[in-house]
Amino acid sequence: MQVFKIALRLVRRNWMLFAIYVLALSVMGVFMATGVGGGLAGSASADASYEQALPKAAVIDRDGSAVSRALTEYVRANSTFVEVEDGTFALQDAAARDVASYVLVIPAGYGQGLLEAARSGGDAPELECIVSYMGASGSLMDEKVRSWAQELYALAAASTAPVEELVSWVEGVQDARVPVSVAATEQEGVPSAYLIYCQFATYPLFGGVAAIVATGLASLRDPDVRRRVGASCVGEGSFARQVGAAIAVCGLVVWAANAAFGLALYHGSLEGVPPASVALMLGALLALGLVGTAFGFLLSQLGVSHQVAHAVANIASMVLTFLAGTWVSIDQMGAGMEALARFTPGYWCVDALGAVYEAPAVTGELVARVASDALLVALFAAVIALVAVVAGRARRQRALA
Amino acid sequence: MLSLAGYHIRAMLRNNGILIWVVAFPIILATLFMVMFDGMMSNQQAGTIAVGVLADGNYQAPAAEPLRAILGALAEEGPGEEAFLALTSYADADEANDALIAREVEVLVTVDADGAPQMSVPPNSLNSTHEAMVQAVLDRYLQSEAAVSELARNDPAALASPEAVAALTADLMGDEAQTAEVSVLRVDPSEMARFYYALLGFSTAMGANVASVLTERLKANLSPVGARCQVSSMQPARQLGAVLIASWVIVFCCLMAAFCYIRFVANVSFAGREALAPVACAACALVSCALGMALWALPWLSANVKDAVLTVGVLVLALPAGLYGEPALGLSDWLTQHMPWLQAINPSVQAANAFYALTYYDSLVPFFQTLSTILAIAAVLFAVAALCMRRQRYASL
Repeated sequence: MQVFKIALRLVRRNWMLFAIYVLALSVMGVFMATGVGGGLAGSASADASYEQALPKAAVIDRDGSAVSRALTEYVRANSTFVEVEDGTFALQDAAARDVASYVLVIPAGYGQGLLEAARSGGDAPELECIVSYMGASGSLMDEKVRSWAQELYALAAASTAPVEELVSWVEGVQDARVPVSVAATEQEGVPSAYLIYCQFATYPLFGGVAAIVATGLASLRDPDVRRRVGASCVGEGSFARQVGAAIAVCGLVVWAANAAFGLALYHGSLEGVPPASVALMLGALLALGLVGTAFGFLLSQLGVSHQVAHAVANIASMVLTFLAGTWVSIDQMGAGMEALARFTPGYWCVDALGAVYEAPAVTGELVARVASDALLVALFAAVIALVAVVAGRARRQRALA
Repeated sequence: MLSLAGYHIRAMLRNNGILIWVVAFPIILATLFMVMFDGMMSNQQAGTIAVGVLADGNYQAPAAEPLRAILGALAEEGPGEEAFLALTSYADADEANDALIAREVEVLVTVDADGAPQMSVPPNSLNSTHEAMVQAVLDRYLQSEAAVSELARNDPAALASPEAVAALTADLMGDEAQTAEVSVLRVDPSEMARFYYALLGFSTAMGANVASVLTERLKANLSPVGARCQVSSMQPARQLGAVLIASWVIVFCCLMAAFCYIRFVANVSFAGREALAPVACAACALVSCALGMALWALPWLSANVKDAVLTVGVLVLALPAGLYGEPALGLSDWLTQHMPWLQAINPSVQAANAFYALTYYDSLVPFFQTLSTILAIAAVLFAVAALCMRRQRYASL
């Protein structure tokens, strides 16, 4: 057990790597989760009720009529309103930086033109808009604006009432809204923010473990150390087994640290969620942690320098998380990419996480699906570990030759 | 000084780890983006939304006929356009609810006894735009009915005849009031292009590895070469200058290689302003060198820890630049609006912004403003490096 203890001591000496790779990357996961799934404690309540998505919108009113003022107020009430100046640079800035998902430009004479068109049966003058390339929320706002203008057009075509009255009728009509409810489930589901956190945990659990293991145990590959070990009574097999055990402990510690960090941060929003759901998600992540551990073992057996270890671990992590659909949903990619992703462990881990998130309750079917995904991920770990053993043996034999 | 810089460059070219980080990594990631974004559709348009309908007695009743007509029309494909809705009918309420919970459909529409629609979303809904779009359609249906009632209450004479009611109903569902989308940027912006600009920002921070390794070669306590350099006759400032020249040349070449790959292989547009890209790469290379030198000049941390700090630091700096997918782009926009100072001091963000401003704005003022920010960050980091390298004592060599 001496080698095992030494290996653990070596890894422990690199505690700063733990702090950087595990904590810093976990914090990145929290940032990502906050951006998509809401805050830490607040996410549970946000998930429990439905609120319509509000796009960021701005209005440039070049008309100044009662119609344009009412339309501006409508946009303000149905969006997260932002102020944008009327100028080429300001509009470019708003579009380029995505300051507003939707910028409505009401041309001069629009209000009068709409009324005249409605009463003569012609087409209303066009409103101009700048729709953001980021997401469909700008298109949503555009649809709402067209609806508002069409309602005013229809009322103006039907009635000769003054424009102020027509506008007030249209404003009154906006109160008619469809009631929206959230489907009830037997058990409370996992909050979105925690799902995103777990999805991003694939990075530290794979790349972090690999980099820590490969860098932390670098000195065990030092030629002088290898010579001393070769002259000692510790057999080659025993040495490899003890180092492997130390690497496995290292992987477990990283997984536990990441899991504990997530549970500590999201414990408020996880209240009411069945512990089995959380356990299933952590089980899938543990399987991926084993893959990271095996990959670290492979890097260690290949004897790469610490710089190469960092580079390879991070490149592999980026590719893995990308193909898993952590960065961009795999649904948005082509069928070829999804087929390719199926040959990576991250895909199956994220699939298991998604299955738990979407399941209305923890059932035997869900447990079986997550277990099969986790088993598949663990098989990747076994194959990589096997390759590492073979590569390490071949390398040692070459060194002796 | 120049000959020392030449030696540094040769040493770097023999360093496999650095070559992987600075040359191969950006090109591998760009290739990955190319493969992934091939066939990926822009999400500016909503795409087809899967909607479930509970086709019970209420839905089949005459009162719900207009609603059925609207949903049916939206589920039809137009010429060259995909359908807005993909409708799935469920005869049983439990079956419909199960389909919604299992996310077979994104939204479930039911109809009450009065023929008014109601909408359900899945549990843990992210309040998505798709849900909001279906809600907007149903709101418009209800508001059309409300508009008829409003007019009947306030101006009954306007609806005196059945023809007038029919005309109003037709107008409410018509499309005489339209919007026209205008483009204000030099080229049509693309979400995918932002990933490539963020990649250039990431490569800028990544280039700090070169200066870090070369600075390590100057530190007497970190390498035998450093010890020899410290006892040589060349002043530390000139040694630092040689490191700066060598690392700048290498990082500049690497950034240009990444830029050329993104422009000509990935075919990302820079709107005809490619000639100014070397200027941006030059400034980015400078801040990259400054970052590496400043970190490695710090006397307190071990080389291993600095290595890890730089590795993870590069990843963290790339997050607000928007490299890690849509959530990161959202975070980047949020930080730009709410914490612009944080974005202003991040070299990765500023490097990405430089290429962005170069491409999209009519005026070159934002581009040069961004370059000024990059140079200011570089100046601060160089000052830190110079202060830390000056008259340093080593406890043991």
